[in-house]
Amino acid sequence: MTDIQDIADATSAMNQLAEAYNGKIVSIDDRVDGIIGNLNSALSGSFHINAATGNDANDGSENAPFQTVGEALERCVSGGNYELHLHTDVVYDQLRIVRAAGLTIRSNITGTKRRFTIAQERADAPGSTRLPSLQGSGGGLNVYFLDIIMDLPKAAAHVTGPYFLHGSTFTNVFFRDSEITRQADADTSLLSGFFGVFAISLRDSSYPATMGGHWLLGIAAGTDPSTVPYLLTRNIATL
Amino acid sequence: MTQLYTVEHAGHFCAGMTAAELGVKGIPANVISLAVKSAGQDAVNVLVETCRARLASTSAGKLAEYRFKEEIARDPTNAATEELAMIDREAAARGIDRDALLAEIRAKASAFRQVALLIGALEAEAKAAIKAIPDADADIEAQIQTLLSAARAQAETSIITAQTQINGSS
Repeated sequence: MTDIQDIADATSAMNQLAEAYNGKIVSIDDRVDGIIGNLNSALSGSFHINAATGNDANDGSENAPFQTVGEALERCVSGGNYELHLHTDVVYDQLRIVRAAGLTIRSNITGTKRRFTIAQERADAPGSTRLPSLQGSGGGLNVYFLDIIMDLPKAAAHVTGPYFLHGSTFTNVFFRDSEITRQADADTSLLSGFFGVFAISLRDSSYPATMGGHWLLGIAAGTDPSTVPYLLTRNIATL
Repeated sequence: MTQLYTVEHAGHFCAGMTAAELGVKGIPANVISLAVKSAGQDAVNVLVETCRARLASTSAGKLAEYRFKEEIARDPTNAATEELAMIDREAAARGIDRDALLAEIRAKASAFRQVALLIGALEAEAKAAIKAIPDADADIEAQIQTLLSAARAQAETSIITAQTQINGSS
């Protein structure tokens, strides 16, 4: 064996080792990508709701929609991002904890608005002092309404301090191509929260002048949004 | 960036809409033009305040010093002997004499006054021009943008010209 032969053998061995190493790296990258893909899939998704033909025993797919929004909310995984497609107008009459971090409630047809009526009292807990509502679960929460007519009610007599969405540590509510309407003598506020920060913004959406004093529970009509330190608003002149 | 408006009409607010979208919603043209012009006036305010912020000293004490120096430079014969002594010390430190320093201060003060007054004039002119746009015009937004661009360009040129002198040490 010459020195030159030794060096050639060592170089060859090193090259083989490098090839094996690179192969492992590719293999590890592929497996990590696969795991991330599975996580993304588990943490996001779409559910379909059809109040007329749906069934809460279905899987919520487009061909087998749920009947209620509440059932779709139950299926959302904590921290995930979900789209709820309304195929019909719906009446929301339950109280649900929103575990998802991002929730889009939208019409299944862009440009065709679906009415999202909040019932005057809970069907899942008759006599409750709470209105049918969405309750943030503690983390940040983004709720996006797209092509929705949100109908705020006059709560039943036994409901106190009615509101629809109870904020989380940070709650962002965005209405796009939507309308907010209020039933006669409606007393329901859109938002409530004992702590945390809120953001409300609207794009190509409308609301009645009677929303004054009902954006955020406890904030009087005519309040300049910039004077509420825990609230960010865009395109709302006064609260 | 697309300008969005929020207007109230007939008991309803239309929020975050373009002028065209407001039209589609049936908002009367005069209500839309009012909103567009109001936003234009706000844009003028933002423009001139941004310009003023660029000119202003961040130090209240420094601003007061500028004013004292300008006062002295404008009429050094009536300045207190003790104050002129301070001017002399600064001039000596900078290797020039009193007259040269006072001339420099006057030039800087003049540059500042000119650009400050120009911004005030631009503000008044732009707001008056926006107000004068006929409500029936279909291109109010475009006209406002043209006005703002012209005002911005004029202010920018003047600020750059004046800033070299204004931001000196005196």
